Order: sequence, then C-alpha cells, then structure tokens
Amino acid sequence: MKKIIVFLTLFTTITANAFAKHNVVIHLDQRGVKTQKLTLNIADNLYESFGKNNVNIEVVVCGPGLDLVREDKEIFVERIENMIEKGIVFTAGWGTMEKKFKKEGQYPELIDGVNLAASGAFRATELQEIGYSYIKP
Amino acid sequence: MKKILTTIALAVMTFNVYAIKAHNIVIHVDSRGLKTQKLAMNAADNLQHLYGKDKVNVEVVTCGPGLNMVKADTKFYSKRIKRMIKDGIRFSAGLDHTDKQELKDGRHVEFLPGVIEVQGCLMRIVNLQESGYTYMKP
Repeated sequence: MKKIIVFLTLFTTITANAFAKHNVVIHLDQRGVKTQKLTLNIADNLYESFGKNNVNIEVVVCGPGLDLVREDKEIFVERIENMIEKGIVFTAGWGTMEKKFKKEGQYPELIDGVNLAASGAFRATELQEIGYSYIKP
Repeated sequence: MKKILTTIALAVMTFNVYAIKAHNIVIHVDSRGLKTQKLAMNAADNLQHLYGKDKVNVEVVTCGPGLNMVKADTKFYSKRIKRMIKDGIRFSAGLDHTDKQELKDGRHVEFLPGVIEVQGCLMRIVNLQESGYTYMKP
C-alpha cells in the first residue's frame, strides 16, 4: 500500500514537469464500446493533428470507464498498447480499483503501462490546474 | 512565465476579432440527439442571460454527428440558431468530418449563415481552452 502511494506521488511530479506545447486530458467515465472507441479516436486525432512532439495527451479513466484499460476485456488491448508506446498516457483511478477489489475479491489486472492516480476526478482536476485542456467524449 | 507569454501571444494572434471578456465558455456538441443539442442551446442562452451580453463570450463548437445542428438544411433549430447568432453567441463547425459526409450525400455541405467554419474541431476546443475558455459538455 505504502509503495503504491510513493509511486503515485512520483508519477504526479514527473508528468507535471514535462511540458509540450499543448496539453490535453481526456476524461472517460462511462462504459460502452462506442464511447470507448470515441475516446481512443479523439486521442489519436489530436496526436496526429498537433504532431507527436507538440502535444501531451493523458486519458483518465474512472468508474465504469475503467473497463477500457482492463486486460480481461480484450477489445482494445492491442490498440492501447500501441498508443502507450507512442507516448499517450493512460491513467486509472485508484478509488475504482478498490471498489472492484471489494466486489470481485481481487484487483483487476490492467494493461501494461497504465498508470494509477489517487482518483480519476482528482487527477483530471489536478491536470487542469497545471494548464491542461479538458475534453469529454 | 514562458507559458503565460505564449498564451497571451496566441490569444492576441488568434482572437483579436473576439476579444476575451470576463467570462468565456466553450460548449462542445458531438451528438446527433436533439435533446443534447437543445440542452447546449439552453446553456448558451442561460449563460448569456445571467452574465450579461457584454461580459460573456459563448462559443458552441459542433463536431461529427453534432454538425447536423448547424447545417443549412436543418429543420429543427435553424430559427433559434439564427436568432442566437444575432445575439452574439458564436457557432462553429469542425470541418474534419465533412469529407465523409460529402461523399455520402454527393454534394457540398452548407451551413447556416454566420456559422464559423474551422479546421479540426478538437484543435479548436483545445486552443480556446488555452486562451482562457471554460469547457462545458451537455
């Protein structure tokens, strides 16, 4: 538990320092394949239209939106892995993970490279306070 | 400091036509649903009414399926949108999806008079937020 908290703080400071020209946070809090696909399309679209060196994109998922980055859902796993390789950041809320733990008896397995934040809404707020633009699919 | 300077420069370059006022709001419509579109227009009207015309900038950015709202041949809200544009609320249409629609319909997409055509609606939303706009999604 302690380890995770240390990791969270580290992560927050690192991403806050690396500023590109444009910064965008995309906030997903719904389930449903259509919305999930739209989220990934928006991220890809912004990445292409601004150019890869000019934009920081972070996709924050919380609540029912967590399905997007779960490894056992298997719909977008490959696509998300490619996007993480390209430099698009994915973050999941820890609050949702804990709720899933209570419900299912174990923490859901996330795709490799997905970060954790204390809470999805908290992370979205934090990013907007340091200059990120917000988009909700 | 550098960031602030860049923001100011961007704001001056891009928006000298639309000066920044006390409150600036961008409303994002990306849905075909009439309910959502009505909600967006209600929000815009309410904000303008509450803050006062001189103190608020409202821009409704339509993307993808939301473009139906501002097309010239739309039947539903054309009168209201024309009235709102006269009142100073801006409507813009992201053109990045129209290519597909052109192919489907076989003719050029036309918008209501006064609607601003922009290249890339997502980029427009990000740029507006960078110059101080607040984001809203109905």
